[in-house]
Amino acid sequence: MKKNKKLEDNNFKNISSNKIIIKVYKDFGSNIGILKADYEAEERRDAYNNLVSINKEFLHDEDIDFSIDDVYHNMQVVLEFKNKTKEEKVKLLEEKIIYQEKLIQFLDKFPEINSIFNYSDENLKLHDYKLLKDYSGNINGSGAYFTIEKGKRIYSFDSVDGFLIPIWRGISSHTQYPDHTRKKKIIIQEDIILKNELQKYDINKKVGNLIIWGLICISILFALNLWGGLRILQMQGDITTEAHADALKCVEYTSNINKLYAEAAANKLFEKDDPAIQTRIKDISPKEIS
Amino acid sequence: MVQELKPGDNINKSGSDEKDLKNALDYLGLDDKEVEDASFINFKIDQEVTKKITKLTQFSMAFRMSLEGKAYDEEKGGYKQTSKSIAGKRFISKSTGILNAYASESNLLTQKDIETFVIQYADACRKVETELLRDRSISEVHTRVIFKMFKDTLFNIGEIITGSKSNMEAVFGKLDPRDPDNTGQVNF
Repeated sequence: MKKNKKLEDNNFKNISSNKIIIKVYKDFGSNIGILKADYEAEERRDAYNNLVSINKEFLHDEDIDFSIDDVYHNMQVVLEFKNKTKEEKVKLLEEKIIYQEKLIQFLDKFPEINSIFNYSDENLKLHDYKLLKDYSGNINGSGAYFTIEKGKRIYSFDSVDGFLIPIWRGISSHTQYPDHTRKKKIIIQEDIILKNELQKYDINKKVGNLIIWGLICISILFALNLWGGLRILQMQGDITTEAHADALKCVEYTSNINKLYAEAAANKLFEKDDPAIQTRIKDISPKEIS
Repeated sequence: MVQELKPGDNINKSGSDEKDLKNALDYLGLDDKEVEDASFINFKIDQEVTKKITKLTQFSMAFRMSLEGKAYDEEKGGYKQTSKSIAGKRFISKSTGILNAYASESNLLTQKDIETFVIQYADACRKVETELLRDRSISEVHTRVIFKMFKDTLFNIGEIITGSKSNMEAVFGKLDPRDPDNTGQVNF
């Protein structure tokens, strides 16, 4: 019993971590999804406070709060889904789909009716009905968009035309299917256009940044030069004071020697044998090596 | 109760178009008169039009009608539904709404400045492009066509509300640089 408990603890240890695993499947003309990519992503909030998963290496930037698209939400309200069972919902939608398909056939054949029913709108409505039918048939109260493996959350997506459709896993109905009724990131294309647009204005920004950086570099170089100059001046001062002290010593010695020899010369001249002078001469004479 | 439609079911059961149309209208719960009224819009285009106001209205109207799949019927003097619409109602109302702001007669009174119009032109095109990308009812095939149609219509309106033809050089540049007489006129 204890072992099982330990295993469970380890299994759910990192669920709350913001590191999640993304698995992308694709149907290459078959009914079975083939794993196309498998990578780790970081879960965080974007500038608009939406929950997104990001992996810069794989250029992955997707919403993972998976809210329902307004169109399907409104359709559910209009078709009064609240008080209907699953079977009733599917039956109603099947009827709607048949009506819609027939209407589109009529619109194709008789263009006059296009003045009342818009072909593009009706076509889209048919597509939405079909998606809602799939959703109503498969969805059940309990389930999730992720599974847990080795203590980490795994989000699976179905790759369709460049969009990542989240895969729903129902618990009570044992179903697993890509849920097309979630909001899709159609903003991406707009973002590209907007980025291209903004690049035009980036030139001024870049020039401004360059000027600022130039000024900073110039001021740093000026400070370095100033400091160096002052340092040199200080060192020069130190050298001169040292040299000055040595020169003073030399002058002192020279004057002492001159004075001594003058006195010695005077002694010699006047033939005086002053013992004090003799000892002083001895002092300054080179010492014998002992 | 709706009849079940089997795959490959042919709607031409009666063999004649008129009967098929009648059956279709019965199925959809529509009246003949109602469809006839809605499929024809009375709008006369004067071929020798010189009035600027009429021209402005025509440009906007022609854009709307072509999106809805209506073509001009010279005999009856109006637009008649001849084909399927290429855009949803939502997009049609939004794009024509933007166009109508420029196609308003008040622009003629104020005589728009070319510099201001160029900014507004770019802005309007961007708005419509965004709307085109967002609209799920429009197929990819029609996206570019619709955008080009919008640009051309606004271009034509711009020629009138800015006063002179050569003013539009600022938007597209000089189209014919080899101007032999150096008159400064652009050959469209």
